[in-house]
Amino acid sequence: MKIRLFNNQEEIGKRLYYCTFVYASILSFLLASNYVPMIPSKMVHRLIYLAIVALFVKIYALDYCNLKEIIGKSMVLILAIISWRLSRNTDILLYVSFILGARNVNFREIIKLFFVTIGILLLGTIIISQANLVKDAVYMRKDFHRHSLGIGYPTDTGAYAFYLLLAYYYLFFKNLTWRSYAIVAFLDVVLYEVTQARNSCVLILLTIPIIWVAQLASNGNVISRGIASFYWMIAPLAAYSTLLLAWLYNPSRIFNILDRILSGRLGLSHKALAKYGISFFGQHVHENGWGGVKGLKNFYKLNFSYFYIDSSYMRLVIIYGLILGVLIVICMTAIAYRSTLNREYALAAIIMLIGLHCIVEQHLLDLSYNPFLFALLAVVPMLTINKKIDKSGGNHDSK
Amino acid sequence: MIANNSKSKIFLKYIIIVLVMMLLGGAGMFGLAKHRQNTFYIARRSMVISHAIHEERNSNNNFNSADQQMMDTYSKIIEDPIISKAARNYLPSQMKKKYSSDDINSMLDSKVSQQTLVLTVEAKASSKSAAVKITNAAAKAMKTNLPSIQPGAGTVRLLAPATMKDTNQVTTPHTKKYVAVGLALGGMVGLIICFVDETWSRLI
Repeated sequence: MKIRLFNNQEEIGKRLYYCTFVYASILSFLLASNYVPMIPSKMVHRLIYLAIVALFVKIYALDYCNLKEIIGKSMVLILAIISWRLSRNTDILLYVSFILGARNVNFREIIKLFFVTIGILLLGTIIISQANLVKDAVYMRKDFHRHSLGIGYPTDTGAYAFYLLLAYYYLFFKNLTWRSYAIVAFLDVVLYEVTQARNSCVLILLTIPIIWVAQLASNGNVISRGIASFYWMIAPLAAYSTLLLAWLYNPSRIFNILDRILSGRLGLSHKALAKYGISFFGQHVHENGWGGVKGLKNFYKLNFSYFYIDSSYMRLVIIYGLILGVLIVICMTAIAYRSTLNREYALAAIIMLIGLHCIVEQHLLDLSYNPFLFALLAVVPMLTINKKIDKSGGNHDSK
Repeated sequence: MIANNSKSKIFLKYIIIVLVMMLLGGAGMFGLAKHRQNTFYIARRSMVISHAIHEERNSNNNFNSADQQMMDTYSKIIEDPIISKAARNYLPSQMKKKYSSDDINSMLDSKVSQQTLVLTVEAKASSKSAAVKITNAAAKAMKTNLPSIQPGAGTVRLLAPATMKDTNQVTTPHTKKYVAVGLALGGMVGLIICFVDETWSRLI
């Protein structure tokens, strides 16, 4: 085994994965931003297939897997390929390939790459959009101007900020102080003033107590450990209850209040569920959103009826298929559970926050937003140095 | 091997907990549905409220579209206590004793067919004959009272009377849906129990 650890082939596989990750993140980011009419999106989609091919090469040619693993991975990949063909959406195949290809890859490196790549792209796009080189789309909400800052839609800008913040928390988990939280709170207010992305802004505020408790827990605080140990169950419960509520939705008073809190998403989810139903392997759904330059035109059209399945969980069961949806939620739960079992809590808290974010927003399987599910098969280094953990060894490699 | 064995045992325990909670939820909601279940009969009668079309030729007013715009008003009028009070007078004395005008008002409902001048009144009652009689009485009350309530309104022409044959039977709530909801909620409770148990026994 030791010889294999330093084997050339493994090193090549790792590097291929990192390069592919940066390459595909940039492409996904471009698709999510207002560069699209300048860059032909069809060509970008074709370039994304190259990333999928590279990941297949890593999974089948460069990774040492036993027969059982190969069969398991192949079955999931076949499901993803079926879902891709039926839903006509490449995201799912790309994302599942990244999850399955993450063997031997250092998860911390992925998050670092994500933080730097998307951070630079986002900052750059914001600056360029203010110089009016890329469209800073403005949407009206009553008298308020919501700026998208060069990204497809104001809530997407908020979501980028949210996921970048999670990456920041993961990378600097040990060194977070009250000053970091104060800066986060300040930036959150600024973000809200520009985009009015309510879900992301509320959740960014919520990250402060949640990450703080997780941090205390990983330092051995007993009460915080008691609280943080329950984090891992939020994602599956959120997924289950989102589906249940969308199914049970009726125009009664309680549901009306809930629907208003979730800014009309519950009613839309119910409509989508009634119209398309749950699919096992995936299906194509025609959506009209307000995102992007095309969507902006729709926003100012009279009589345009908005139909977009916003909740990630609803997208999973309606568009990508129930079987893959359940597998993805199990994947989230497993990552959070393992983090709790190792008593480090950072990933448990992050997966919980993503789980809450996904009730309303659609970025669970967007590569340029959420790289955290790659922790399933990647090597996740321990974040905190703890006496108890030191006994059980520094690194945790899941197989 | 021992660790594997105990893992699968725990897993089995959780599956059993979820299944038991699902069954309990399903059974509970089944009982509730049966307890709440009621069977109603709905009778319907339609009417046309319009001005004769030939009048239109001699005036600049388009009576026909004006009538169409009035349909929602007529629909509100028929649901008003004034009509149910009048309708009660047309009922046989036996039924008058049984139903107050408020009762009748709560049983009545009306619908306007889109882009037509047809107003349909329906009555929901626990017996077929009551539904039929109340529907017909309400239609009659509308015909006699509308001219005094809304002067200048079109003439009410009643269409085929409601009959016992044409009543619809409606049973609410639906047992199947209740059981499905019970299973789903029970599953949720079961999952929460398993998650909390797992956290309590292994993670804290």
